Amino acid sequence: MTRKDKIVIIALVVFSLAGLAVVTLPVAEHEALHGVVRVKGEVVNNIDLNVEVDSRINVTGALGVSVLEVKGGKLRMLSSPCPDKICVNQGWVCKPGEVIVCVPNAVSVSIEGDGGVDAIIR
Amino acid sequence: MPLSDRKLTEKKTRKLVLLAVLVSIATALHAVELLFPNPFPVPGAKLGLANIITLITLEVFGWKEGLVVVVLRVFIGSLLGGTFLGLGFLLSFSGAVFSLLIMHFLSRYIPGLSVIGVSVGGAAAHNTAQVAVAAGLTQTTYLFYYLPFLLLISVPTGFFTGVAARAVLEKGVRHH
Repeated sequence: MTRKDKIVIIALVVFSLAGLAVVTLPVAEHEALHGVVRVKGEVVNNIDLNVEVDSRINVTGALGVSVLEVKGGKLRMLSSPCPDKICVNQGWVCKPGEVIVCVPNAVSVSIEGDGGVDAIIR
Repeated sequence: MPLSDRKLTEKKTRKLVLLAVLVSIATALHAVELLFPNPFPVPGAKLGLANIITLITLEVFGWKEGLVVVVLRVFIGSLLGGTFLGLGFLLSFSGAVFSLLIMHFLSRYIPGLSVIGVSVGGAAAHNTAQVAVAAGLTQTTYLFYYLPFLLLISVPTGFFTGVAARAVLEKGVRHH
């Protein structure tokens, strides 16, 4: 193996590692997801799911206070003052496009990504 | 028939036979490689055993003969594998032709580069062309995210095929 061979190999390794760094950063970025909380259709809170870890958020709706839990980039309705608890039973959501709706309390939470990747590509 | 003419015919025949042998070995390696499951964590990455033959052809004859061997190998290989004119065929074809041209360029215009460096460059070119063609055909630019992984893998695979080709060339499979 000659010196120029080594140069080619090292250049390729450096280039691909740099590429890997570039590639993995925007992936994390375009995966930036938000939980958009709405009461009667109006946005009251925008939860950054990538930054906020293990928190509880109180949302005051038509009947009372609904509690959202954020944990490890996922989100669920922990409790809600509605009679049938459909929203609570739905469990965790984390993918863009997923929605939890509590109709009686007029609260909805939708997961929204700010990247260009949509459900079809996934 | 004058003696010089006879020698010329003999030389031509020898070349024809050698190229035919190279094509058949390349096709066999191509087919053998398809039998094994992909040893890499990334789909689409492979060793590129057939590239050993491309390197030898390029070194012993030249880029025109190399192109003939590569094109025939991809055509026959795809007919054997049943992927003729499919996506896999188009990827193989573009990768093989582009890498041949790059390898020719490297060995011709960059003195001091051994078969190993040429082989690594060819492997990288092969993967780049494949990703570009796949991205173009599927209209998915996200496929380029995949390129750095493939380029990184092309270093060991290119190294291996280069070492193998050098071993054969050192044994003296020379034209003339």
